Amino acid sequence: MNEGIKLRSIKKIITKEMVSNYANVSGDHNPIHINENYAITTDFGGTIVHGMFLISSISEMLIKNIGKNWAKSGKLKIKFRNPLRVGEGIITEGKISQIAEDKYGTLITCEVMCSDKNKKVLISGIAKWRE
Amino acid sequence: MYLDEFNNKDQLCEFEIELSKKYILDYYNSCGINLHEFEYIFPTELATLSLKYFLEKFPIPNGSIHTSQEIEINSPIEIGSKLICRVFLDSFKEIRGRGIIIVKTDYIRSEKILGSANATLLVPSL
Repeated sequence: MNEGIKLRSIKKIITKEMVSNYANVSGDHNPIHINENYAITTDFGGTIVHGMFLISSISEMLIKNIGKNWAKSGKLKIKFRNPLRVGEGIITEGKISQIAEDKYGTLITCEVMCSDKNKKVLISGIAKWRE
Repeated sequence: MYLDEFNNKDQLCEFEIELSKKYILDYYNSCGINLHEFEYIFPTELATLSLKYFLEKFPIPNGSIHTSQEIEINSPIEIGSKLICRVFLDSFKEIRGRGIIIVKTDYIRSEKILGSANATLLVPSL
């Protein structure tokens, strides 16, 4: 692994059914995510995907590119930038920005983000793990 | 306002979670993640499960916005583990009638902190 390397992306469409199932798994039944009649009255104009669901796509990218080291020592710092309407698509990106040695071994730093089909950034941040 | 009966650094609650294989599979299925072989829990699954228990105790008011999230695992956590989650009000600030709240969760086994999470929330006044 070298600095500048890009991770393989994850692309998916986040459906109403997925958001409903995620609400059950996470216990987050905020109507802005699952109740169209309520959500349409808000500034969002419709239901939006849970922020933590978007983070799961970053995690999926790291699982598929990094594997066990992501589970053993993963650290993720994410800011939510823009909402995603339910039913729309996403794509994740990751780029290794730093590889550093310290007394504990090798620390990898990776810039990560998730965007919508119009390349609007939905979430972005930094992932770190040890190898 | 949400959590305003607490002071900064107060412990909000403590509960036990079991990182069962069923929960992990339900999580992957809901997120559309095609993965079946796993030995350790990944950071986001851990944060999502603890959030579920926290929301049962402290439901977040409608109109709240989750603005940032940090998750860190210090030691590998095996699937099937049981952990204690200790949740704190890390900070609370009121700005223009809205609250900026950071909720910190420590994931603990045998009094050793295996990981932690910080969620920043913007909550409306009630």
